[in-house]
Amino acid sequence: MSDTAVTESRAARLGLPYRATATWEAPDTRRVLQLSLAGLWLLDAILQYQSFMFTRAFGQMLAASAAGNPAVVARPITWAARLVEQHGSPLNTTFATVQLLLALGIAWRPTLKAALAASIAWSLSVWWLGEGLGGVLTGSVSPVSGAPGAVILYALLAVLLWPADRAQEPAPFVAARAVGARASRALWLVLWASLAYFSLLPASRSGQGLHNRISGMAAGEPGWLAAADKNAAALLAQHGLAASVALAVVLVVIAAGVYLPAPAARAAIVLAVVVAAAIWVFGEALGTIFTGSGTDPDSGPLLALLALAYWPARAQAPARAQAPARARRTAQTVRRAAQIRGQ
Amino acid sequence: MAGRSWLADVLAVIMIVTAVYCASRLVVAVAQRRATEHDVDLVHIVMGVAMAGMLVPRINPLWSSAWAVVFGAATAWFGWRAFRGYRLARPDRFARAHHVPHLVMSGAMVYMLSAASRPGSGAASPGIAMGASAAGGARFPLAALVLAIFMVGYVVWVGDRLPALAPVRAWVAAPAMAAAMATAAGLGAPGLHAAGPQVATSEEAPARSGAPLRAPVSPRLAACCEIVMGITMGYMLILML
Repeated sequence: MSDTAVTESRAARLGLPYRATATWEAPDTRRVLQLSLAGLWLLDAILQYQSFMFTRAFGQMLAASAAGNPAVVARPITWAARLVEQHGSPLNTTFATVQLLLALGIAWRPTLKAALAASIAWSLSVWWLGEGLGGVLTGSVSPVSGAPGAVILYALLAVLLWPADRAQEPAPFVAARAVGARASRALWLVLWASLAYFSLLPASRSGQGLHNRISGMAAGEPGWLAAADKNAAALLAQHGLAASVALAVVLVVIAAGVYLPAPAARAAIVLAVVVAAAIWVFGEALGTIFTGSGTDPDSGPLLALLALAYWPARAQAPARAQAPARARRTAQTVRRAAQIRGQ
Repeated sequence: MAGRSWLADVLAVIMIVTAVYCASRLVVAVAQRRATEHDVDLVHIVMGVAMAGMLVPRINPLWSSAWAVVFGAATAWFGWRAFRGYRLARPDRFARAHHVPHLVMSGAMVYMLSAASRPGSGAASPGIAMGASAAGGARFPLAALVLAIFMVGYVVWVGDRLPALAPVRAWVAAPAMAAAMATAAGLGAPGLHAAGPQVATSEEAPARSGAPLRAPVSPRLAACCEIVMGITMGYMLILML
């Protein structure tokens, strides 16, 4: 008997409103990752409510993302940025509130699918109009500074954490449950291989490229973070090419990692989390949250979250096999309630 | 304060409404002999008023040092409740941790009050508080960030468990079932707190004590209060950076 059937029949015997009390299940791994995504959206929303975002400077910041993009991409960005400059208060309130609703929608199970779908649409529009497609067409981006744009990673996570299961195949990791192993591995490969490519662009591999990017993040940060950035930048001074090549090799290893056997794949995932953390601290200065002008926590936490979605499941315990365990837990809860009622 | 003034006004109104609602919960609980978490509701009343005062200094009724003492006491109280929960509760990690968020929220209030009223910020009087960031940032900004992240995590955690809390009519129909589901979700069950001598959320407590399980005062709205307060506190902490 399925977990739902067990729960429903017992709840019916107890004369309970089934939907109200008996359908809740303890979060599985995918749900925990969905909640983490909701948390990042909520942090985004709170950051969007900061004072800076209501000023003209926010619109000017958006306009800057048009630079270097083809005209067909840049023109709508410029138009949107001008709109935000002129009507900053109502528009920014709308932006922040949308993000808040996305967060709460993902956290509240009845609206999960709608919120995830809306988050994909929202992310794609912000990726274009707010981030200039993450600068991927400008030829001057680097994974160290957040390429390919944090917001596109929200959309990718929403797709991979979609609450559905492909019936035909057992999922080797959480990200494969909704779209299948082949598609999810391909998405991972494209993402991390593109990061490797970005790290080898001329702007990144120049002698002072990485140094300048990292040292530029120190301004306005607390002393300890500024010192960390400056020290990291000093290490890379005049070693831009070697560091970029080394970073590209690491990113390629990560990209290929999900195609390897489980132990090696786990090592690649750990490496991905470490790289994401290093990018977040040294390249993104924790999303410049401490400066009061950070609109989001940037790509570091999202890359780490994405990596966790690819953590190989235990052998013989594919995602679908978790259902009986959840059923037992729910049934035990219902049984305990029935015992108490009988006392 | 460093945020937009109209936004601070709106949040202050929301905090006052939340405080008034929590006060009404206590009144209803006494009048109708229904269960609620008295300490949590009481702290929410005080917290709502204090946060409104921090957001809009002109309506702050107390000095920041007085608020700090109040929330210091609340922190100690919830620390004691959490400690007892870990010592006495059954090995249910969510039930044991039931009071930890309230402990952290009270501690966050102490942090905000003390960080915002540092020497030189002119913040020792009523009408301080969130101006700290405008004056160049609070002390220990990393602590503010960590606390803000905790609030964000707590809000989504409560949001996820909201459907597990049965509406009052379900409690009336089958209180044991509703209590068990709430306990399984780790959100606690106010009726159990009031009925039994056990700390935390052991569903056996009322059975042992022989007290009937009463429908508590709207557990879902209580959880919504937690969500609203968590978001507002997260916003205030981000302003402290």
